[in-house]
Amino acid sequence: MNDIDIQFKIKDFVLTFLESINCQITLENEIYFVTIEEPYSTLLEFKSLKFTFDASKLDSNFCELIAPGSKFLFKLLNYNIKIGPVVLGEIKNRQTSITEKIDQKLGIRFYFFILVEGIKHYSLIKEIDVDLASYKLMKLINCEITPRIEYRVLDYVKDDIDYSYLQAIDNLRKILKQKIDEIFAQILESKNEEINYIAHSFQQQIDDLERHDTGTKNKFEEAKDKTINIKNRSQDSDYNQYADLEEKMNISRNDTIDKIQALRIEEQKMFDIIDRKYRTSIDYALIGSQIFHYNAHDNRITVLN
Amino acid sequence: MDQNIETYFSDRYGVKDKLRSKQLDEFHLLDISLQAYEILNLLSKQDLSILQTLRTNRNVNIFDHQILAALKIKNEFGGSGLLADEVGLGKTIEAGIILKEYLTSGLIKNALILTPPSLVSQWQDELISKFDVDFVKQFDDPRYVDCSSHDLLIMSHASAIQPKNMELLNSRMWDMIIVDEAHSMKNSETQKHNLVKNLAKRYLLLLSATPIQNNLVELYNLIDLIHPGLLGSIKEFRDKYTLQKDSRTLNPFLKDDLQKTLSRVIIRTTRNEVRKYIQFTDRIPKTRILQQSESERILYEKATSFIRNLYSKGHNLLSLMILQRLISSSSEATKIAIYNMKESGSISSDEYDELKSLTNQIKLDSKMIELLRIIENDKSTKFLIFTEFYATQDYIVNKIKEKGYTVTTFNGKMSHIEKSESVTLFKNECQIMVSTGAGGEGQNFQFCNNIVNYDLPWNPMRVEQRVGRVHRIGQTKNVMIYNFAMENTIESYILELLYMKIHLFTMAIGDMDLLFEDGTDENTQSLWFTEYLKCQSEEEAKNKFTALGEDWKNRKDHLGKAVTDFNKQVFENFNLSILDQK
Repeated sequence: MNDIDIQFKIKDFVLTFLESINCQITLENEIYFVTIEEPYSTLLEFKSLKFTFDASKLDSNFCELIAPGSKFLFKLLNYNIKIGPVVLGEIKNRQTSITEKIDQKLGIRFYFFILVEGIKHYSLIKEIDVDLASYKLMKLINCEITPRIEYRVLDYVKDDIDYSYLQAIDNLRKILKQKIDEIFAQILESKNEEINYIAHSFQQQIDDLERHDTGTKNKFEEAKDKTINIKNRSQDSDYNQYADLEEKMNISRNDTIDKIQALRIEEQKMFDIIDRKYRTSIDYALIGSQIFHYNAHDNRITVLN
Repeated sequence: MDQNIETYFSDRYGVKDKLRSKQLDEFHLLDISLQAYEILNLLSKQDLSILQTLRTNRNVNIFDHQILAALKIKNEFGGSGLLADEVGLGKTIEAGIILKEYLTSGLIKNALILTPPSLVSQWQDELISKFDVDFVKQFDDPRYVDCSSHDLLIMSHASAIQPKNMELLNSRMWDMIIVDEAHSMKNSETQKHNLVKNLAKRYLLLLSATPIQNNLVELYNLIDLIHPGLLGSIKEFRDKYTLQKDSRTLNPFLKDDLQKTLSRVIIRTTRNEVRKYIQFTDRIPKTRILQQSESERILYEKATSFIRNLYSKGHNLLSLMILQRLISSSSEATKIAIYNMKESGSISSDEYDELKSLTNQIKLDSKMIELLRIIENDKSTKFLIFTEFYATQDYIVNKIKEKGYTVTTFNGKMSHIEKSESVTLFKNECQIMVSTGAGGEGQNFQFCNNIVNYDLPWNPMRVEQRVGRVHRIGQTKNVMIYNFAMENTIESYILELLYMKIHLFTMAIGDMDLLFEDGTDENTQSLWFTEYLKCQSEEEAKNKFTALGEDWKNRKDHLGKAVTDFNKQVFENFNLSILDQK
């Protein structure tokens, strides 16, 4: 989707919303003058606004450009994603007959916003249709759900909603499994790459310490041999020299062990930080729903087994 | 990995409850809500969704290299990197673009900015005025609660390493951390470095024009913050890439290898690369050490003598410093200073009357005479006049108005709207703006190229904050910086013997940061002032400040050469620019 398409969608969204809350809107040379009434002026923190969707109009007019990054757009989006609408609709029959009226059934459409948040970001809007009586998934082809003008008693109970929802969620997860697995595999790959860099770096430091320690030990062994040779021939002072060297070597060894231990702790700390960095959440958020009447004999609609 | 994934089935807006209770909404609400979700969904998939808004933003000029840097950070660097553009190319803007994009497209929900203390307010102002992103700052912000309570927080490096703050910062996950003047973190042994290293974060942006100053290990330490282990262990890095023990010489045979790795984390654009679309201009300081009138001289000497006396009696140094600065500022500010002294019982009524009568004898400050002379000589251009005090601001405004010039004001007491209106007025109608130091941060005055420092900040960083309002990207003329000080006053010593000695007015902020490190805080100023008060004569004071200036100059020369040579050796060998890869 290119910038123009998005800008078109933004324009449609903003104007539809402002009209829906009965704002006074006047348009003059692509500049919109809007007065927002209560309670929306308080909710949106704007009473009146002068804006345009056309960047070229900004030069000669002091007004806000409604585009990604605009404060007004941000507020409007945030306001509207919090509605959680539940509406009543129907799938109109191509021909209305008595039989069809009698065989009217209820379906439910759940709208989900799937959001993966973490080092990788993924989002998707997906709807799932379920027959409200059998809790079976439905397949709708070329059907439009339109507003239900004539109210009829909604013949369902709470459990119908819960079972239908569980069915929808179950199906949603199945549909998205491959995509979600792919995303998590990518995240894991990046994480492992970082972990490997860190592990390598720490291992290098540990190897260096151990090499140094081995060097010290070798020096000691050499010195020890010499000292023992001398000792064979002489006095206590030579033995003291030997003991002294041994103590030095032990100190060096202990020092190396301490340093390695500290490095391991440090390494673990880094792993923990990386762990938090790559912590990811996936939310199958329910954002709206539609209860709809449909006709059991409508061949565009299939209730899946 | 599984333990790192949290799965939710949220129903934040009560859809199921509505369904269960058969509570129906109007049909159109579904359409609108779905449209909103669809737009958010699309935005998160854009390379740079805010591009059009940026390009048309009146408050900021966005340049190609800044856009490209933001794109690269987002799409190639995975959200983290070192922005190492040369001075004056707008690294703050680049960071602002990235931040705004991530917030707009929902990729982050919180961010922490760490800056030197002197830049905290400037960051806050720039983000609100240029990007409409409202950060809470740690000091002087009534909204501030504590370090873990705000999703958008700016604080100083120094403050962040306070044990209590560190604990709170560590207690949460930060989606994005931005570290300005990140060379402060170059030493891995320091608390600052370890703070950034240990904070849980998803994305990290480091900003520094001088990421290496002494040796290549500093660069290693910065890269290690962004991508731990990328360059191996420190020993491995040293052995592989440097030729000497002090790590100051790069192994030329491995230059390409290192460049390849660095190009995964660093972006560095040079001034030469952007000359085709950015005009760089000079700063021309014009210092005026003014001869005092007899009344001014007697007034200054007497008032200073009282302050010295109060100091010897153990009065609070900070309040004495403010008095001294008021006295150095203007006759109107002096009136306030001596009134305060009388009210606090520091001087008697008789002494007050004597000083007051001296202030009344001053018909026009010598500084004001000079100011009017300068404006008179250049009636066609705009002047931005800075003072630290409201009393002086009022005095200047009144005197200028009396002469028939058009003038507007700017200060920290004004609301955002008032400030914005005043800037527009200055841009379109008024020849002169008189601003308090605190008021100018974050505002762009590139349409003006004359600054008058009517009085002088005692903190060098604040000088830069003033000049930086005018001398920035978009300025097309050389900037004249008029600095006023009365002879034989502490202000003249600071100006002439310290600031001019090190060419402060033409220094870049990165160089200042390097030179002063953390030495420009209130303690340093208190130290100067104490030294001044201890002096028995102005001659002695002059000698003391001369010695201090020499010391500064030597440090600057030494550091400047070292950094320039080293940067040349390393960075000029590398191509880390985004423009060549366009």
